Amino acid sequence: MYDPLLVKLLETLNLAVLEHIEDRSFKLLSAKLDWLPYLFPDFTIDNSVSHSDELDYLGNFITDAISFWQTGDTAKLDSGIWSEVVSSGETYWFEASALNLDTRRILILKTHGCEFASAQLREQAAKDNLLAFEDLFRTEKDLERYSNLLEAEVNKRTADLRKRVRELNCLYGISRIPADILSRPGKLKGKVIRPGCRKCLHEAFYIERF
Amino acid sequence: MNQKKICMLGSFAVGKTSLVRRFVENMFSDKYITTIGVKIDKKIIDLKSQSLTLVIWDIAGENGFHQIHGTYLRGMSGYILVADKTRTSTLDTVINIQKTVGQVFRDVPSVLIMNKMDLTGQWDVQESAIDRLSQEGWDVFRTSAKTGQNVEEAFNRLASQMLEK
Repeated sequence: MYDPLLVKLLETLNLAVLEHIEDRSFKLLSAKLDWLPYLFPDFTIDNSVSHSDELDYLGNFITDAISFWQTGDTAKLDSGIWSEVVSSGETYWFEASALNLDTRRILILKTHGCEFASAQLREQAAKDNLLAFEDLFRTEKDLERYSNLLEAEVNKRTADLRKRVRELNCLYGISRIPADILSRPGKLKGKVIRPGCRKCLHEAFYIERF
Repeated sequence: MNQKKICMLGSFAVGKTSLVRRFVENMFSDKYITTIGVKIDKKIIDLKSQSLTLVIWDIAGENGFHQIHGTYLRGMSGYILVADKTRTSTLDTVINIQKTVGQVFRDVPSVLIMNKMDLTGQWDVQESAIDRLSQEGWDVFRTSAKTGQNVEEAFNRLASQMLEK
C-alpha cells in the first residue's frame, strides 16, 4: 500500500504518477485526479490503463518515453507544455515527464494553473517586443527608402532647373541668372535676379513656375 | 475512424492559431495570444464520401528562442506552412522550415498559406516572390483568418492530398 501522506501530497501538487507496465499500458500509483480521465479515458477497476492514440500529444510523448525507459537513462525526459480543449470545453495545459527509478519506469503528469499564466505573460511580452522591434526595423527601412527616393527626385528636379536656366541664358545671351543659384529645387534666390528690365522679369517668372 | 495528423508550422504571430480557430470553430479574435508549446485541436470533416478526423498540432512559432522539436512532427500526414503577408521575414522562415522538414518528410504533402491578406495597406511580401514559389511547385493559398478567405479551401486541399497518399 502506498503511503497516504505521499498520495495526499501528490494530489495537493496536482501530480499524477503512473508506472509503465508494458507496451502502452500503465498502472496509476497516485490518486485519480479529476482531469486524468481527459488523458486516459479508460481506467479499469485496478487502476490499470493504456494509451493507444499515437497521434495526440501524450501518445507521441509515450513513444519517446518508451525509448527513453529502454536506455535506462537516469536523467528526466520532459514533454514540454501542451494544451487541449477537453470534452467540457475547458482548455487544460498539461506537461509530462518520464523517469527511470531503479528498474521502475515512471510517468509523471501535471496540469498547469496560475504559475503557467505568469510564464505565458512573460513569453507574450517577449514576443510582443520582438514584433515591435520588427515593426521599428521595417519603419526605418521604409524611411530610408523614402528618403532615397526623395533625394533622387530633388536631384532630378534641380538638374532639370539648372538645365532650363542654362537654356534661358543661352537664349538671351546673358548670364544674369547663374546656374548655381538653385540650392534646392524650385527655390530661387530672388536677390540674384535683378528685375528692372523686361527680360529679367520674364526669366524670373519662368523659373518660379518650377 | 480515419485519423490524420496535421502540423502548423511558421514564425510566431503569423496567425497559425487564428487559422486553426477559424477552421475548427469558425471564429476569429484580433487579440494576439502567443501559443505555448503545442495546442491540439480536432475536427471531423467529410471528404470524398468518407469521414476524416484531422488532429491539428498548432506548434508555437519559431522566434529565435524556440526551434521546432523534431519529435512533434512524428506521425504527421501533412503540414501547413504559414507566412504573414505583412512580414517578409516570415516567408524566409517557412522556406527554411520547408528545406529542413522536406528532407525528412519527403512524401508528406504540404501547403503554404500566405495569411493576413485582409491587411491590404500593410502588405510587405512581394507577389512575385509568391508566384515564384508557385512555379517551383508550392501549393500556395492566400488567406485571411479574419475574413475566412480561403481557410477551409487550404485545409481541404491538404486533406485531399493526404487521402491520396
